[in-house]
Amino acid sequence: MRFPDKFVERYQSFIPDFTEFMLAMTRPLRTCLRVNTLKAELERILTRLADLELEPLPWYEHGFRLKYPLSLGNRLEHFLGLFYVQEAASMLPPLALAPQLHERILDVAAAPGSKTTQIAQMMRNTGLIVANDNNRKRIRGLTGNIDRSGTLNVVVTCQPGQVFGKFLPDYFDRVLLDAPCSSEGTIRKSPAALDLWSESSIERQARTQIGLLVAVYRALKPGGVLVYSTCTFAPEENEGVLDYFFNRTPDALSEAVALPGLKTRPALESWRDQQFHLQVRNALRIMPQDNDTEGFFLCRIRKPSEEKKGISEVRSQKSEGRMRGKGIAGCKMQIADRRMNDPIVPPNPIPGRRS
Amino acid sequence: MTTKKVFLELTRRFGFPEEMFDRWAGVEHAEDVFIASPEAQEFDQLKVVRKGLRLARIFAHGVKPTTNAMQVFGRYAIRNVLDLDSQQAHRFVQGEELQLEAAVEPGFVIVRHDGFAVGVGLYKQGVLKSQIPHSRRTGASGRRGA
Repeated sequence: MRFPDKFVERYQSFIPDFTEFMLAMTRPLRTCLRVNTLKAELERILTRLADLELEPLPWYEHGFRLKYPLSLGNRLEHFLGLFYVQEAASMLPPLALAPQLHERILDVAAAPGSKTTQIAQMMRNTGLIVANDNNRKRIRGLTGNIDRSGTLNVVVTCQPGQVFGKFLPDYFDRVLLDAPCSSEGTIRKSPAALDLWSESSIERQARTQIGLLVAVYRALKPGGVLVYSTCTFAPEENEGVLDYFFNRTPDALSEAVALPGLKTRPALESWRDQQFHLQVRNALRIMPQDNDTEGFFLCRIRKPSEEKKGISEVRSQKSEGRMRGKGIAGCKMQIADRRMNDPIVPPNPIPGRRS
Repeated sequence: MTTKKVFLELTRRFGFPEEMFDRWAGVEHAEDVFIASPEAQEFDQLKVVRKGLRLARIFAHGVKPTTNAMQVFGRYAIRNVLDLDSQQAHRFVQGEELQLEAAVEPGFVIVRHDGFAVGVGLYKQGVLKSQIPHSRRTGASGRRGA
């Protein structure tokens, strides 16, 4: 695997443990899976998968890592939808989103559906998830995964992401924008991503991401939460996009995200000649050498509720040094799927339990 | 046939708990009935590709449940259920026809293995025909999930 000189040069400039970073980037990625509790209880499924000697991911109770490389696609448990092969880092944006039961969620760039089906699992099939992708060819993979996972609360749409801000303003409780990106973080899994790498493509992606972020923020209800994530290291697509967004959207507030058990790094404060907006500092970088995952970037953004709007405008003007690590009350994770019983039938009518 | 009738017909044939479909909504689309959360069913602000999961297809003389939906609801069935051992289940998901005697009514049955609902089969005179869609079958001809 040969990395372009410009790639090495730009990341050497801000990754202090660059040698470890490059070593991790060239190491193959271990397969991870998410146990799908929409189909059965966690313990039941783990019993079926006992031969895989799964190692739990410290930051997500339904995420596991395979001890040995194995093909899983032909297993009966895969056919049954009892698990979903999903990269460990890709399980993080739904955790940061922290969807609650019966909410309205928008997943802007949803295909192939790993995060959509994870969100559905966290919501125990309640409420509404609008799973959108603007690419009709990718929709087929998305619906296939919805089918296999037994997801019942998803509406699939095939629209440019920008339409949501225009036609559904203030509509969603939470929005996930797992943005299309230069995918540098996935090089470990698909080295082919490196062949397409160029600084001009990074700039192109960043322009698209800005357009999407500004538009879908409008679709968020006052008080709602948006998670912006990418699987790339490029500051232009991460801190740069957020910097533009926060400068243009002074009422928006970033929040600290707590992911216990996961090593994260703070977002960059500056890059080349650009100093980033203070709100960007709550964003997180997930580096491949830290948790043996793909690279990832995420930021949790809250749209102030109507009554708090006036206050936040004042606060955003004089918030020097107050943002970092603080967050607000809502960011304490309450993951819905830990507290629910049966996802399909209301309590009682399960055969054998009826009085 | 309306959604309500499809819910009733499936409940009757498979002995589902009577309240099971109460918290779900039906979405009718040509000969198909989809099942979705009520919030998903109500969404009509934009043109949609689909809502929820396809529950069943309506024929002139009855209702054919889908494998995808029965993998979710099949665990609650108490009638017209056929349990397969591991080897039979693997053959079934590859689309093979199985010869076996079972105490079920002729017609669509829910096939289970180890308590998990595998999918829908058509049982008649000692023969179980797999109704697993080709796109979901495993083995050489199957398409692997993404």
